[in-house]
Amino acid sequence: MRSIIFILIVASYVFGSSYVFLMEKNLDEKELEAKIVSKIGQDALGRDIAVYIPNANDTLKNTYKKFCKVVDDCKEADLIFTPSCEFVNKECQPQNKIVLSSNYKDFKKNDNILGVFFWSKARPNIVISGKRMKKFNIKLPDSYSQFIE
Amino acid sequence: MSKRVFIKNNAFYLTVFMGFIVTALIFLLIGTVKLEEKLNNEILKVSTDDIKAISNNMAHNISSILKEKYGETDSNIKDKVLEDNILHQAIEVIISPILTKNIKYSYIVYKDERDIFRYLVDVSYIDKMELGQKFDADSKEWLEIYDIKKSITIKHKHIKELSISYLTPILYKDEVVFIFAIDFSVDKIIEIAAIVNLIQYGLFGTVFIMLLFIIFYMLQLIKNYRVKQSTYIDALTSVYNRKYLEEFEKFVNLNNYVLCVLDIDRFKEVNDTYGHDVGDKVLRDVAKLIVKNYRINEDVLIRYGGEEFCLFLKKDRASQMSTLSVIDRLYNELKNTTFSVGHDKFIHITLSVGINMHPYESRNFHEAFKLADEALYLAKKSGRDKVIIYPDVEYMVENS
Repeated sequence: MRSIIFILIVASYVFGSSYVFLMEKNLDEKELEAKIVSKIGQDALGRDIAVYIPNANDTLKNTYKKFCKVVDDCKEADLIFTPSCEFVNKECQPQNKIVLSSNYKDFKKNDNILGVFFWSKARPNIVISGKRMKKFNIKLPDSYSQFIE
Repeated sequence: MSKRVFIKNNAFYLTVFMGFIVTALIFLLIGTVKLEEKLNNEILKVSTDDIKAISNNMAHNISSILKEKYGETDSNIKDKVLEDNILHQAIEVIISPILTKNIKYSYIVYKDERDIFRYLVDVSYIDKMELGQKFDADSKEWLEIYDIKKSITIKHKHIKELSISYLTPILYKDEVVFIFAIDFSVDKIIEIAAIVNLIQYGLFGTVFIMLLFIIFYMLQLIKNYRVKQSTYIDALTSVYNRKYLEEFEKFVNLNNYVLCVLDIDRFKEVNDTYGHDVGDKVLRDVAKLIVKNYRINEDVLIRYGGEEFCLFLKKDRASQMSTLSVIDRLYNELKNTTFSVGHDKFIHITLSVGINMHPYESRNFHEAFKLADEALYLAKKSGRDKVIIYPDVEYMVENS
């Protein structure tokens, strides 16, 4: 019995780290994204928000649900977080809704997108358009100044 | 009883041994964690030192080009560089070769008037950013480099794809105007981890073999101890035997003991009347009774032969007579004990005891024993069930 416990201790110590590495992979990035996106929405509207993410799977929705309400119909949403501006134009009219994108090029060419959150060089990047903030009459706290272009 | 003492000692040794193993494992765990950390750092340092040196050279080259092109005292150098597309291309040519499988990104950033970092040049194959695009610096070192004006290594704990970033200042008029940054991918760390793991496995293997040797050695010790124990323990009564006495007399300090010789009275009659099996049982029971009354960690009981026992009573320095309280207790208990001889029949047993109060005065154990044996002889001769003390005091207990 002692030998089995000893072998288990040694084995778990030797092989343990690699499993932890695999389990944590990709988990934090989505959590950080959900946290940032929902915080921008909450700070812009000054209240809890409902977020709509087109084509989101259950895992992604559950991650977002830790920080905000997630809705399945874009009409019920306060904030739309989309990777594609085509979606915003065709399927969901963004009146009275904050639209954030995960695509920098889309953000640049679509005036309806307030800001962008994307990963570049393994780092999170946030850019919010100051011009569009004025257009949508949105105000954000001073702490956002470094992200406003 | 000697067997109990043995078990007690054995448990002690096993506890010590287990303690040793646990301590060794804890030290091994702490040691390997520290070793792993140190090895990781050292290997990382060795494997990145050359790249860092090349990076420093590249930054130095770019500084030289700036000085060559704009002189050494231009106060508007940053704006001029930002507008100079030809210079951008030249810088790209300088910093491109540093990209390898392990160096994922290579780029130059600057700080604008709002202290926001922006890209000047980015030669990365993926995630390539445009001139002036914002770069969200992820740690304070990006600002620190403006003060210390020296290269900085950033170890990434929260970025999974990158292991370290190496920032080199591009100086102009002894001020940092741009930062040349390279990001090392985690591939390097994974390669290093594989090497460290290999070393760890080797270390574990060595320690495991060492532990096996220690375990085998300990098992051998215990086995030897058990063999010795069985050699020295009388099979019938489970007390030490004559063989043990031969060893014991070599190292015993007679100064510390009172020597008693105990003999069961009329034991031959028990054997003759009830048979040897009953005789053996009586012997066992008497031995148990003696053991019950002696001081387990101080006194030593030896079956000298037949129905005769040799008892070493540890001296009580305060009172010689209190040492003999063991004999008192034994006699009292014997008086109230009956021994089964089968068929619901019980008999009383008496003991004759010869005591040598000063065995140390004899030249050796044999002489000391002879005097105790003479006292025993006197006890037998004077009617049995008696204690005779050599040399001067007659201490007699009668069992009737």
